[in-house]
Amino acid sequence: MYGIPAALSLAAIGAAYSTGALSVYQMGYLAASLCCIGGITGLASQSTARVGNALGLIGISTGVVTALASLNFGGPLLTQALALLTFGGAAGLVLGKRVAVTELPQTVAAFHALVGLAAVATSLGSYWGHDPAHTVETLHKIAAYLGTLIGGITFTGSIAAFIKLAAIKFTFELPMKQYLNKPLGILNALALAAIISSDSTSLGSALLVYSALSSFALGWNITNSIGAADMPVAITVLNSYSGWALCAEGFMLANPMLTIVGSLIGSSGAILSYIMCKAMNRSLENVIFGSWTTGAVKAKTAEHREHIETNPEQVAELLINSKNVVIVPGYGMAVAQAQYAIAELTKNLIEQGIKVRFAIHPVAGRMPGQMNVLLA
Amino acid sequence: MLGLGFACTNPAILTMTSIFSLSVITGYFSVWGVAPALHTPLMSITNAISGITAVGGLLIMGGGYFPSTFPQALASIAVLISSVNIAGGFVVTKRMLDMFKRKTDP
Repeated sequence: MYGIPAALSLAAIGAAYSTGALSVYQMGYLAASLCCIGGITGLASQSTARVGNALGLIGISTGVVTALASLNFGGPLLTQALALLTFGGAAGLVLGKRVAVTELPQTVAAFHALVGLAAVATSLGSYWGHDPAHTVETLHKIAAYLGTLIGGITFTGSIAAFIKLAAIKFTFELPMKQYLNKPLGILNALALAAIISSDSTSLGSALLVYSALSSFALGWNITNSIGAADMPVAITVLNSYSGWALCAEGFMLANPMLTIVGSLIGSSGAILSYIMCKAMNRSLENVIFGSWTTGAVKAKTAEHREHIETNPEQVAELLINSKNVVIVPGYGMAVAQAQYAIAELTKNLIEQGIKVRFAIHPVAGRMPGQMNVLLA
Repeated sequence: MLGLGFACTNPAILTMTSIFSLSVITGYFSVWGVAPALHTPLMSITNAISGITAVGGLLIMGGGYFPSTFPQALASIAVLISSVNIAGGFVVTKRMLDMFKRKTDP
């Protein structure tokens, strides 16, 4: 059913390609961007969410096909591009179908790493691939630098997040990690200033490589210092970064679609991070940089009330004797695959005339709203 | 902001800046409209559409059947890994949304 608009838009681009109507490409990018915006707006309610997903898919494929058509590749190069797209797409399909439901958060984190790496590769490639006879434009330099920097942070940051979420026991601590971030940040600002003021391509390349390496270190260092419980926030922040890296690419390659889609993703990630931090009564700085100050904070909250352990019989008795039950699911339920048992329990209780409600904390689970997905 | 107009005379850059500002606002409002229950699919759909980096890679691709210079090789890598992202991201999103599916949904 969704195939019809997709086929129509692709046919229009094909027609433009054969007649040489170049202005259609601009509109192709616009249509692709609008589809992506529609895709996100579609998630506003459950009934339209699936249409939203299809719209997003149509948007991206229109964008890719428009780019392919506008570039007018020769046979061998076209073969190369199509082979890469097909191969990558097939790998993505297999990966996406294989993972278990509880593994979805780390899968998304791993996909973020790919976006970050792609942004770094594109930025570097675009700078080096520039015609050496001309000096590189200032804007191009800024965008390439920022694209590399943000992309690099997203890349290693997401890998660190993936490792934590997948519970792989692997830690690699950079030396002097407490003191690393600020100097690296300041050096990056200086390097950006240097790359703007200098026209030398060799200096520029050296600075870009420095930017890539230092952002890899930064991303790894920052994410590794974030506690595993705060990973949902870390992922959304990285999501936001990957969007801004896309924006930088858009400026660099003068492609409006990349800018639009990038800022969409950037603001989406930023808003999600904000919502989750709010739910935890913490500020974003506290989550990201909190690991360096938690020593003092922990001592204060040490006077916990004792928790009361219980056993199934007691719980059953309590449940039957109560009128209102609030279930607060956590990640443990997901791991134990207990959502079906909970559903059955809920049904039984409701049949007995007991009011059952679910209280889902926005940060429960390992991704925003993961519990909502499982309970659905 | 007007200072940018004085400092920068390239119309393409100014157009891009306008596009950027407006799309940030669009993004802001469309994301606040998303139902809280759908935040996880939102994450994964934004992840899927960020695979649009493939276009960035395509724009600077070159060579024949295989890339011939280092920058072109970088571009090919970008295209390859972004396409993993596109396909994988949309499959993952679809799987999440299918869990929400009710019998009455289309």
